[in-house]
Amino acid sequence: MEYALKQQVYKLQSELVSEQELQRVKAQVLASAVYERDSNFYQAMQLGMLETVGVGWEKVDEYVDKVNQITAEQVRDVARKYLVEEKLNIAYLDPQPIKQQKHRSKVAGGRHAH
Amino acid sequence: MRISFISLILIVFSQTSFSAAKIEHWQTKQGSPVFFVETQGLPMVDIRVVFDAGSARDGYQYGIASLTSALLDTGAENWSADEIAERFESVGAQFGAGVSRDNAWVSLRSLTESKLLDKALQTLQGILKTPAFNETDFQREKIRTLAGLKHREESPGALASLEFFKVLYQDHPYAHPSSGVVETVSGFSAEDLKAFYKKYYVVSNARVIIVGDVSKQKAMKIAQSLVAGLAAGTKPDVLPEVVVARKGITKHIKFPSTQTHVLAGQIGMDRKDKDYLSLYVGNHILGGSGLVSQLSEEVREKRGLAYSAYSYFSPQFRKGPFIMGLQTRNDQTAEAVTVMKNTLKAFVENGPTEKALVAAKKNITGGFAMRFDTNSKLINYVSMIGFYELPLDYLDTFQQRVEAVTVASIKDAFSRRLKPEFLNIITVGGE
Repeated sequence: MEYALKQQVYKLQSELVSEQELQRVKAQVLASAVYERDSNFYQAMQLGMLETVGVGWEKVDEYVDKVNQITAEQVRDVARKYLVEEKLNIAYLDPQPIKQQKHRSKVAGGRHAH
Repeated sequence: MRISFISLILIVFSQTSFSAAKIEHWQTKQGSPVFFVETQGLPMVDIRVVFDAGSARDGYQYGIASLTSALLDTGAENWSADEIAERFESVGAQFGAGVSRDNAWVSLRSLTESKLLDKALQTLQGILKTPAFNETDFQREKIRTLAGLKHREESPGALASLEFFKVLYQDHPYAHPSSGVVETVSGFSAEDLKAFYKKYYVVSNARVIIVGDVSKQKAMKIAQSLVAGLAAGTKPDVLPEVVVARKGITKHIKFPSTQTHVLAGQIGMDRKDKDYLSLYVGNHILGGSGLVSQLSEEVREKRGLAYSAYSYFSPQFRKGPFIMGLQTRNDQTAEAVTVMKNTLKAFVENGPTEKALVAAKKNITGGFAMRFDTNSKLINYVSMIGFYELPLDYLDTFQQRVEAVTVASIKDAFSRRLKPEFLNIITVGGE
């Protein structure tokens, strides 16, 4: 399993992703950037977040354009630069016996006040 | 693509503050009703095709509506399940399908750029027109469904709900769960699903709902193209009325849990009910407003018997249920049930105070605009209005109609509609 996952990373570093695959991902980036804005709450959060981390809210309009400019070569180069063995962390989760849990309800009556 | 955020926010804001939503309505050439709201500012569109093909149409094949819906996107035209998923993904579109007791729907969210939208629509057309119901896909989904149904037996909450509907609805088509039961689902064949699809996924049983940044012209074309390939078919018979029993059943199901799930209620109201607003606003005060409701006050705040206690009416095409619910430690069940019963009884007898009514109205009307301030929320309302044939100005007049509710109208409606002495009470839990 671990080997198979690493193989995928290796593939990304050694081969160029196909134009078709790149287009598919770009379409999804564009779509989710639009769909996300179907919420005043999310728009406010996005602008606030960009300001908070010091990027500036104006960047929000550049996101999709910039994603569209990305080439297969750039994807490969980034994979080579960052997805390196020395920086790899692996977590293993060994199955534990299941304790009987108390069932928490969905709070159908309203939201939880803290 | 560039969207000026300031203007976008202004557009969205000004829309919700003037009129709720302008719903346009027409019929396709074939005769399927269409409901359309044009929203501007975001280059996206949400589409839903809704059929009177919910689990109330299962007959004795409990779960067949649900499984038919689940199979729709697993093969159509000459596409496999993976190819269908890839077609939607490649244009950033999102497909969905599902059933409730009253209806079945397929939904599509897509960008409006024609190259992208056209491919998404073409795929949706294929799914509606030529679903394959392949044997291998069918077997896989059936096994998945059966696993889910078996899993349900481990949930006291789900068991309580199953029993509650059984007790309330007896032999009415609302009595069984939409997802079916193991005994029926295990007997289905792909042919059964095909037959269900053929009977119910037809022009005369379809409604198209469109919300988004497309012109009316474009919306007309979209609606037309989606139903064009379907068989004409016939409208199914109207569902039978629900018989309201003049007795209440109390039933306990033993379950090895430390908490007991309690559901109590009776037959409530339908979507076009004359008492709708009085019951809705009244219930908001009784148990529909979260921690400040009377049920929550009595059960949680005063006595600490449960984390939450709630009540709601679930209006359907025919009378849906009125449900009160809570979970409590096993040894407190009797007390919690008594408190629940007494709270309902007191409310039915006395109604709310004027002060509580004013607060409820402010809460409902004040938060009203936020219920459909996104396309995805709005299409839920437009679908409901379209499917249940509610007035097109339903959203525009909602606040006015809430304002018109009085203490007297609530008292009157509750005393006629709810009979605390005939309450059905289902408890599931340990001793």
